[in-house]
Amino acid sequence: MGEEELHQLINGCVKQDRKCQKMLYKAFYGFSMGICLRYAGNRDEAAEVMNQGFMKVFTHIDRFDTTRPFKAWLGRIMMNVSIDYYRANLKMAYTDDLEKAEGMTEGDLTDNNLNYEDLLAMIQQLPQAYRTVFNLFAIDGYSHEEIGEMLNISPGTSKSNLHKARHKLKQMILKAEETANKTNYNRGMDFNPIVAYNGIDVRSTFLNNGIRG
Amino acid sequence: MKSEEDLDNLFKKSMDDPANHRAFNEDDWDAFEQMLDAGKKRRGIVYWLPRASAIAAMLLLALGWWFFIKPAKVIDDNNTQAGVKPTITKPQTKQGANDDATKQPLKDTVANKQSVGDNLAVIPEKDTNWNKHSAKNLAAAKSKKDTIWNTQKTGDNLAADKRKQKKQLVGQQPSAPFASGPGSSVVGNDNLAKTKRDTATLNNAARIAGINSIDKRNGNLSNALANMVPSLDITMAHTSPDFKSQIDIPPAAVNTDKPAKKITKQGFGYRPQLAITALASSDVNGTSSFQGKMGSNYGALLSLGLTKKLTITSGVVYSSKPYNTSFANYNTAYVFKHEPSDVTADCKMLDIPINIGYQVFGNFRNKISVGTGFSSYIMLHEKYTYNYADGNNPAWPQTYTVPNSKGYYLSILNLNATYERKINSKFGLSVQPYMKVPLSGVGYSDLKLQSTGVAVGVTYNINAFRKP
Repeated sequence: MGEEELHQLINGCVKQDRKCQKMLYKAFYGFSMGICLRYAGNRDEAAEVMNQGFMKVFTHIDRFDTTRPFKAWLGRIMMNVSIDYYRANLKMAYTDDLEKAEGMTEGDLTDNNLNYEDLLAMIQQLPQAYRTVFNLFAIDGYSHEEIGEMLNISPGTSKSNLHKARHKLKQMILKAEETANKTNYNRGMDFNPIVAYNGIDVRSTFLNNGIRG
Repeated sequence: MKSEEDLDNLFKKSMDDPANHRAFNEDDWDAFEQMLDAGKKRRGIVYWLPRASAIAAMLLLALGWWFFIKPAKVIDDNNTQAGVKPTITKPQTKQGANDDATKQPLKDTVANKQSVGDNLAVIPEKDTNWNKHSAKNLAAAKSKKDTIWNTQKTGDNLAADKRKQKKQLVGQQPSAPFASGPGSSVVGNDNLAKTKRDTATLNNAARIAGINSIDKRNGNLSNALANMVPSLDITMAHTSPDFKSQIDIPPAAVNTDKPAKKITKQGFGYRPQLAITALASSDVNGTSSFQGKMGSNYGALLSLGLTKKLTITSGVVYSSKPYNTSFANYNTAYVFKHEPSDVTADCKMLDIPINIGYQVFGNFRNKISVGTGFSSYIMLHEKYTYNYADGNNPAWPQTYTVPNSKGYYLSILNLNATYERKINSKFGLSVQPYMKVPLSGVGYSDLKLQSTGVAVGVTYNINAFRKP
């Protein structure tokens, strides 16, 4: 989408023109959904959060400074809405003992066989507190101090949660690779009926064994 | 640590890759659209509250003002009734009084009047005196034509009093169209019991009203009155136009000063936006109740948008207002010998409104606004047809066409709500339910004529600053 076209759309949205709103929504759906998906636990949750984000976008679009990049503004709103959602569900947020994560084997990441959907599924399986910190630190590039402020936790807790998130993700990756290998070796064998499932489901089924929530 | 960074990068790279973005899902948009609509409604309610209360307050003020004016008139009516009352109670004392009255010389009349004036507050005494006077006059009726003539005039004044209290209260100096003895032409109800002279006049006037009532109520005196009443009627019929022209002037003066203040309050903003509206409307008209007669209005209005929300509108609307009203609502100087049961009126007038409108809702195509203001009626044609309950008699007046109709300035309160839909940037269609509430009487008969109806119009924006 060209800059001019975007500005026209934005102007239309300022006037609350439904067509323009839909076009803008459609144009930034993938981008926004990408953000919300990794902060949310599943697709439905992500869609709900994203819609709340777009609601904020359209409500406050008249305040948007057109000289600045729209995508960054939108991304920031999506992130903020995701964090709000996290805060609202804070009671449900799962926190694990740091000690429990200690001593876990650290294997080398061979990765590369894992596509976006696999990795997204892993992030989504993280407990919400871990997932939020991991997203903010590893993907959105915030410091622990900033994260602490955003989430109203101490930088230490942020570090701890990041550590645990990483640990879990590593575990998931290793398991996924292991499963992939097994699946490959046992392809067509009677004793492993799991081959009938699709990739994500297989991993979900397997990985859930070791993870609460 | 390296593996941690690798892990972060692995995820970051994958997550940030636009190639991995999800395709648009229509269901999500549908859900969002519902949110948008729901949000709008919720927001609407919140924003509506202060607006709705503002409108309600405005209406309350307007109606309050309207009702505030009414009591003044009611008080006047009471005064009138008090003045008329003795004529009703009279018949009981009449017979005895007659004897006394006939004994007294006619020349005593003036002196009597003055003495009555002293005791005006004392009703019984007053009654008695009145009776004396009326009896005297009756007795004198045969021989003293002049006296009758004079008292007829005073009677006219009183009759006019009954009908046109308000105007006289305004402070119009009572003129003396007919000389009828000392002070007899002075309007009776003005400053009751203030001076002997005035009260004497009242007395004189009431005396003649008494003659009328004697005519109607007391058969004993019918002989004496039989000769007199026709002449009374004729005289009054002749004199009534004089009273009309005499008292029809003040209402305009009464009504102009109050609303004029309101109009000057309207501020002038910036970025004026002009629009012309051609409208046609159909309405029902009536006084206390709408009698189901449909009137029609055609006109052109010019609107000036002061701000995005406020608009003032003025123009000219030709109105045809036929209506029916009970005779009780019909005020006239003319005294009907036989009162009609109701009056059918056909009025044609120019309605010149000055309204202010406030937009309570608006998106780029639809607009809802509420408005209020004042209308001036310039009468072009007034014709009244009298309907009698008990058949028709050629001697009774059938119709009356007012020869020289007048203007009634800012005497009507307008209340309206307008829905306007834009067709394009220049043209729009509007539908406007409205109500016209009378603040004072209009027309020859001083009727509180109200109208309600719906107007439809086509609006042309002369300089639309809002894009379509």
